[in-house]
Amino acid sequence: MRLLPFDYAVRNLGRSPLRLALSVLGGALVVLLVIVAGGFVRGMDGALRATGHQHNVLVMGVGSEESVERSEISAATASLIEASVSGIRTRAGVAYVSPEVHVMLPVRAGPAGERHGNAFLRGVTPAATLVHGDVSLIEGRLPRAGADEVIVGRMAATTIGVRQIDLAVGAQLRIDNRPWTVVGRFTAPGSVLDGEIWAPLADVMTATRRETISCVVLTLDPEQAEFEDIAAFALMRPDLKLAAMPEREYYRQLSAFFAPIRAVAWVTASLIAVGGLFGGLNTMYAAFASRVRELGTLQSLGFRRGAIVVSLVQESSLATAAGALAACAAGVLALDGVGVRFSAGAFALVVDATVVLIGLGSGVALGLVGALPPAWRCLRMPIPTALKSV
Amino acid sequence: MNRNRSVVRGLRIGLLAIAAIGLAPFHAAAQDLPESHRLRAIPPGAIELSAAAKTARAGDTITVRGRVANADDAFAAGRAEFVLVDDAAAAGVMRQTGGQTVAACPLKPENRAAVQLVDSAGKPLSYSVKGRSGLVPAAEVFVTGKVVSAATDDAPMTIAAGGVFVPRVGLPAGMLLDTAPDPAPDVVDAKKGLQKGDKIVLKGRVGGSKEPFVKERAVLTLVGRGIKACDDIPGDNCPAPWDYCCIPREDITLHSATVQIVDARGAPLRTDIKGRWGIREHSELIVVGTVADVRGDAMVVNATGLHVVKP
Repeated sequence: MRLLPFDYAVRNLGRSPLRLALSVLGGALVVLLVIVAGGFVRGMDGALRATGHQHNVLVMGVGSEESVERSEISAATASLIEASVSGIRTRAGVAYVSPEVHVMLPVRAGPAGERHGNAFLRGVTPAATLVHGDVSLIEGRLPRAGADEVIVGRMAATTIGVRQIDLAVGAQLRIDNRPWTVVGRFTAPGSVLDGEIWAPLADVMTATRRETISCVVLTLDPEQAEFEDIAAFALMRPDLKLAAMPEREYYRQLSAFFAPIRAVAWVTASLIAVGGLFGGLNTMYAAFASRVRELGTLQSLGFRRGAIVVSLVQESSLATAAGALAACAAGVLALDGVGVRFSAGAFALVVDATVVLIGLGSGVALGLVGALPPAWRCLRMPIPTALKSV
Repeated sequence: MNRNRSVVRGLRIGLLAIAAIGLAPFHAAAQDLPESHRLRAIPPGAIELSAAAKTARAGDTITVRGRVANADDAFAAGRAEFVLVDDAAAAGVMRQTGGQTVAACPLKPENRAAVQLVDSAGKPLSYSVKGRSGLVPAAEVFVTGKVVSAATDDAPMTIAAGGVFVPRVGLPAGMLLDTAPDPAPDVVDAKKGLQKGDKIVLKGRVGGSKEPFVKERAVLTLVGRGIKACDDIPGDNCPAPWDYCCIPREDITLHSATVQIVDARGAPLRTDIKGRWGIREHSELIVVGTVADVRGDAMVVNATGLHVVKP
């Protein structure tokens, strides 16, 4: 089959700049929405899956396995585990055992406390920096106990819904009507810890008027102990009412909990893509209908219908692919890393190679599928009728 | 000249590398039973060897639990065959010998079996399985296979094993009690007034939480009949009725005991109880042992014997 030259399709694109602009813009919008959905899904999933160390175990109250915020266990649990279970990792004699309080509290920020939202507050001891090895201080220092000081995650502002400057080092926050000073900023790239606020355990317990902690996070030495040793300890101390879970398993469950939200994001993007497809179909019907005589002429010159369809698909795909490229560029430059708040904290949109490929693929598919029905409709006409059409 | 020497050296290194790569799988295989005969977990429905020997006929497919004979003749030389003995009978012999290996297995034919690992033609594989996948004298073993010849007064049963499972750590010999200890009081009654080190016999059902077992640890919780499990309540359709989710945690602690089987250091054995003798959540057991710890209403028992009332 003799094909029409590729530059025929390219030159045709320039015949109607307005139509070209509409096609490119329509394709770009649809692809951008697909990229947003993809970035949202990968960002949320990645943040929850990346949280938690391979050898970390979460010890919490029995019955609270689905939400550690609901958990309440004795404050002595950490020292009991440390004394009873062998094989916990240590460094310079310090055990990787971190008693913690996890609580969601309203936070007021800004000079007059005019901006507010809910923040995930984690009460910690210095051992938290051992068990959460991904956390690193990027500015300031660690908070001192008894001084109502906090450190904030890089994405805490997104979680609370305030400006970054409201959480700068030296800024004042009001948590539960108490003033707290930001003395440092930390980051835990790609994990939900990035959206948290950390404060000394004792201060958080005082502020929340609780005598219990939420959980103990500990790191096992994989050569000496296994998760099952902690699970056995929990079973052998029913008086403490403990349940143990690998930290990664906890966040994997949390990720599964949010699966319907991710599905809704994909469904929404798909519906919008289908809408975009119909819009594209409409444009192409109009575009090709006005070229019926031209297509008839091409047939009378000896070009087969298949060759003309290929040329029309090339035209359409070029337009949507240009839109898809523009959308991908916008996604990578403007959307990648944008913070999104959700109930478990905050995460950043991830526009990576996979998402870009999905975007490009959907752009090209839009061009392919959008061109075929109108092309078929125009070429179905007998050549004499096509040549006579206005 | 130099070039020739380099070529020879290169060839030598290449041959050594090929030999190392080629021999690696054989070296690894020497540690394990053949993949085709290795089971990954305790096979369901395993019964004690002597019980199986009483009823099994040639051609039957059986799944048995036993112990490799603690004897010098436990493994045949030059072929994949070993002597499997009944756990309770083995316990008796081991008590007499103090756990020392004996020259020849002294047990009667009904208490032992010859287990062969055979190829597709039914012939025993032509190497000894001693030491492979943990198969050593006195090791606890689960075997599933076809009975080649049934036990007689003079000869033990012969099993052509389709699969063998050797737990990473076996339970002590004689842990299963054939007959129910009498009396066997309910958990809450058995616990009354006991202190650490006291002997105890208690009866209850496996439960108390969604996961009353710990994987690869010989630990479980036993709950007495003094509180109602979810399926004891008419109309309750709880998918995990053994978790007693409708009972306050304090009542569960009062009516339950944690049962463990420990090693010489007092740590739970790194093996599963779930799956042995059909034990699962809600199974009814009688446990004989000593009190290891008492904290308020909570009690930990070191088990020395288990009787399965209802799997």
